[in-house]
Amino acid sequence: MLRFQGAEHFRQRLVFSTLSGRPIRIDGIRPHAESPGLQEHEASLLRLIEKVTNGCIIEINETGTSLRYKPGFIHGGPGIEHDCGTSRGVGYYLEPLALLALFGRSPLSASLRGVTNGGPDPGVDVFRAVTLPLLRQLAGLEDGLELRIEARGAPPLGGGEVRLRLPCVKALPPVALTDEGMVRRVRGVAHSMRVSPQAANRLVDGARGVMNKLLADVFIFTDHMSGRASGLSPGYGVALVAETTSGRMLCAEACAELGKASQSTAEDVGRAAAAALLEEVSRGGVADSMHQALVLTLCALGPEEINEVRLGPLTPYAVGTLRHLRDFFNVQFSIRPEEETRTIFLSCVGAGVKNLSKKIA
Amino acid sequence: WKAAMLERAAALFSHRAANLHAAVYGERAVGPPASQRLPRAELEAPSSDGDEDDDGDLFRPREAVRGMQGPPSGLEDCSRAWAAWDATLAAWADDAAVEGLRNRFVTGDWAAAEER
Repeated sequence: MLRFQGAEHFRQRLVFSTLSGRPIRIDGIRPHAESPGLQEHEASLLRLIEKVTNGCIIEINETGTSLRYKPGFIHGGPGIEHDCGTSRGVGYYLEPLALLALFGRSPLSASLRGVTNGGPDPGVDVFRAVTLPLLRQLAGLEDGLELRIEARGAPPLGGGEVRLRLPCVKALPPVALTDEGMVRRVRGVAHSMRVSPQAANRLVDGARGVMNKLLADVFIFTDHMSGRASGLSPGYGVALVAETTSGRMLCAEACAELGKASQSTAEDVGRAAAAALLEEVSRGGVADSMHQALVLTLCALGPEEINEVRLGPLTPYAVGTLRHLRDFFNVQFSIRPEEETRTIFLSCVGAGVKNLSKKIA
Repeated sequence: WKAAMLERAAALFSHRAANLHAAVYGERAVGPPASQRLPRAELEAPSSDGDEDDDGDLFRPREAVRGMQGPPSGLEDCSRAWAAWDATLAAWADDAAVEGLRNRFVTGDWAAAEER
């Protein structure tokens, strides 16, 4: 049994435990916090994992500060419904779900309700425009990946709904992503709900103002939701994706924080998203900071040959991921920083994780 | 002492680059993230204010002592790196910074980009 301390990387610990079949114990989950122990979204994630796996055992102590988790088998399957609550966005649940679904018994089809855009987690537009294509390529999938946005929900009340379909794989193909390429075009989606439809256009203006200095090929779709599809709270924001000549995608997003004291205009939000995108481009690498952990994970789960990627400066989350990959799968990356471009080449021999439960078609 | 400052800084940073592996996997680097660490004063003198006869202060959540800067609490499990908006906006407000990225875009110099 692997033992951990604290609440960091909670999702990763559960996912890696499930994929490696190794039980874990986490102690000291927020023992000194005002509301100690597991929080609403973590409990919700545990319920979601119970829904997509068979025979997992979860034991939590009285105060919720320690947890024992014995993984079961991932069955995936259709018709999974989950209410994600409002303490974290749907993106918080999509990331672990995507990894689990790949190694499921049958293709996953799930409907998640909650906050779709805004908050600290990646929005659903980013997941649809960048994460899914990345998964499709790195997992060698043809089709069957889909994220449909039925309704959008902004914090604090949420009320959005997405439908996710993900196929499963037998094993992952080798990864070799070292060509960054040059940014050839920028695409994006500006969404608005329960505010004036004009907000989306103003977001686009703000973002284009910054991006057009470097590139003419900038196109940002506007997506104004109304009626039932607009969720329960007002909100707007924009997600931008820079596509490079080698087919890599870097993304950044910004959403208005309407409830907060510091009000910013729609143009400011657009400019902030564009600035964040420039930041991602300047960091370099084949994936943006948000997807570093996913890319590294897919490398480590890959076949027992050399998997190599090139990334920008590692985020704290990615460093944590590297450590957890070593603990669970015994995979150590060799890290070769390149001084001039300040990028890092990471290579590893994958753990060769195979999907043991997939039905033979 | 100022003379060799640049050299020493360069040596320090190249040293750090070489030790990136140790920084990621080594023992020294492992520890709670900065946002989780309690202020030093809190660690050294947890009972110093025990003399106060104020019941309200007797029990107080330690989390509240944290500084207000930095990412809000509860972000220890988030794939998106937390960055302050205004800092990012300010960094890219100036045209020179934006022009510096020119070669990463197809509108820039392709030969320079090839060398990366």
